[in-house]
Amino acid sequence: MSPYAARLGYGAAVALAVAFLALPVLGLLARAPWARLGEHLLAAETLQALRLSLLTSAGATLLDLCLGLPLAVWLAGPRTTGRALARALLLLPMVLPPVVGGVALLLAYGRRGLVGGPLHEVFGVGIPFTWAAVVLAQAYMALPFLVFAVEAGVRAVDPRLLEAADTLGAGPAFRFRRVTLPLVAPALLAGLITCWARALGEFGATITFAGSLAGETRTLPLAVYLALETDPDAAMALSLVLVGLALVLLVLLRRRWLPGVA
Amino acid sequence: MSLQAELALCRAGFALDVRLDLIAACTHVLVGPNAAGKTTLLRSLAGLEAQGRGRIVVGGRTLADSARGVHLHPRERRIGMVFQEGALFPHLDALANVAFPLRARGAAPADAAAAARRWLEDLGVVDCAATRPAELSGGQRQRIAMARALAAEPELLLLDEPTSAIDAPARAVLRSDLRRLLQRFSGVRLLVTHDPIEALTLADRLLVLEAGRIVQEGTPEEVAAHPRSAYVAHLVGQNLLHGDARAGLVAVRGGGCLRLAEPREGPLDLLIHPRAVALHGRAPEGSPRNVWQGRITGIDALGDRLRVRIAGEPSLVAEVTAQGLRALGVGEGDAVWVSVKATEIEALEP
Repeated sequence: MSPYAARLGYGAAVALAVAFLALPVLGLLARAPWARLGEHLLAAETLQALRLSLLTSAGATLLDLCLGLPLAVWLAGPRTTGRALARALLLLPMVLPPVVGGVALLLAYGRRGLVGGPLHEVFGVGIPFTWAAVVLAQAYMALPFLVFAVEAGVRAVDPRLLEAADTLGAGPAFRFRRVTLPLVAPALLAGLITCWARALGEFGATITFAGSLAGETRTLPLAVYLALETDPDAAMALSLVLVGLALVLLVLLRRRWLPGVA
Repeated sequence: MSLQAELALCRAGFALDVRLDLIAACTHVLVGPNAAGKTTLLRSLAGLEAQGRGRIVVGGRTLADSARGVHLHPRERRIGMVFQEGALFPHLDALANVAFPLRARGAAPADAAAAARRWLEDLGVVDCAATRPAELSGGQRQRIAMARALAAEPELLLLDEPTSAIDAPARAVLRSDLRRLLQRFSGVRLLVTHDPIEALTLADRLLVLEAGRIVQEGTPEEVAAHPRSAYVAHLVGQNLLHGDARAGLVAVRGGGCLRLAEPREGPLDLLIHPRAVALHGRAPEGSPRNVWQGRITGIDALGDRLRVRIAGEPSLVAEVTAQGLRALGVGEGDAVWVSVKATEIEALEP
């Protein structure tokens, strides 16, 4: 093949890839009911789903921060069997079909589940099909995104800085707060944003474990799916909201934390 | 204040076995070839390496004793460590870096900042207080690293090749500052280097580490005069003279006068490599250079070369080949003419 043909083929492959990525967004933008957009966006159900989505995804991100930060710091330590097992468990939500994740959550926290059973019998608390189930489903599915980002950040910290902190008399808590955490902050923020994005878009595990109760567990992605059957225009409007949120996240990420993308 | 240590540890392909007896208010310089174990020794003292056999006692306080199962954490050792390239915290400005050890011990932010500012003033880098390490020069970074180590009020100060990451002109300035700064720290001082000039000019006592063992110990003059290995001879077996310069002419303390290649003034340290010292049977003629007569007081064989000690004004050591000396037909006790080119004399501010 001549160099010219090779360059042409290469250019065509790249153009095809870009088109493949752009077409769905273009389709949405082309067919969106722009004229009645305001009406759809301000509809009570939309606002309800948006509010629920923002609250539950924020809650799930917060929960993942509390669970994920210590886990990530621990995972960044030397390789052991325990860490290999934990890493495998952490990979599961990333590789499982989300529906299967939802079923597993049901079997753990459901009324007859491993933890959910005793919880229901002793305290009369039921988790499935509540907003708490939405938070749990989102947090479970999004946790790996936070942990892997932070773990990479912790690994990238120059060990000599930690040694320097030690020789300067810093205790473990002081050292973490004043040296490790500030150095990991960019990775932590990137992890939080991708974690939040994953939680916001969660569908399969949520609908399986939390159902689709309006105002209680029907988040934006669930509302989009439901509206597709009854009111496609509303589904498109809701989809635009999600695309908009994703774009905001990307811009946030790009500005400071992903200079390679900018 | 003093340090006694006996350390033995084994790593893949390398064993360290060292006895140290260091005293306060004295700069000990540890020199040695690459991979001799200099940094490992320093890190062991600071508690940054896995414990081997042995014990470390500083000022009567046992920091480590493998026989008694004592191994203090680095943060409990009160050892100031100046790392290669400083290891400053990149997210903190110079002031916050120096305040770090004070804050770590619970000082109030305002008190820590005030004390840190005094340290920066002391080391002449107070202008950098609000600057982050990435925007500082190598020399400034090392001064701040030193201020940070000293702010922790250590009993032992360890410096790991403090000038190695700095370009040559800045290194000369830092070296002479370092000597002054080190003298103000009254605890035990131990500096690691592989730079012979740094070793000779900073050391009160020189320790030579080769393949994990201390092979020689003494004042720079002692070590330079009687190097016990080829490495020592090559790197530190240099002639170190002290003198006072006027218009490029140096009156050497102890007698003699040497001309420099460029006019200099004031007290100077002079370094002359033994290979730059030429020996002659008769008074040499030709280009103007430093020529004087001396007497051979000793000849040592070092590998394929001879180190010839010459008493004169000044006294120094020449390194020549065996054939060269044979051709001159001189031996111990004989008179000999000595010459050194002005360009071969390195003059350093003390």
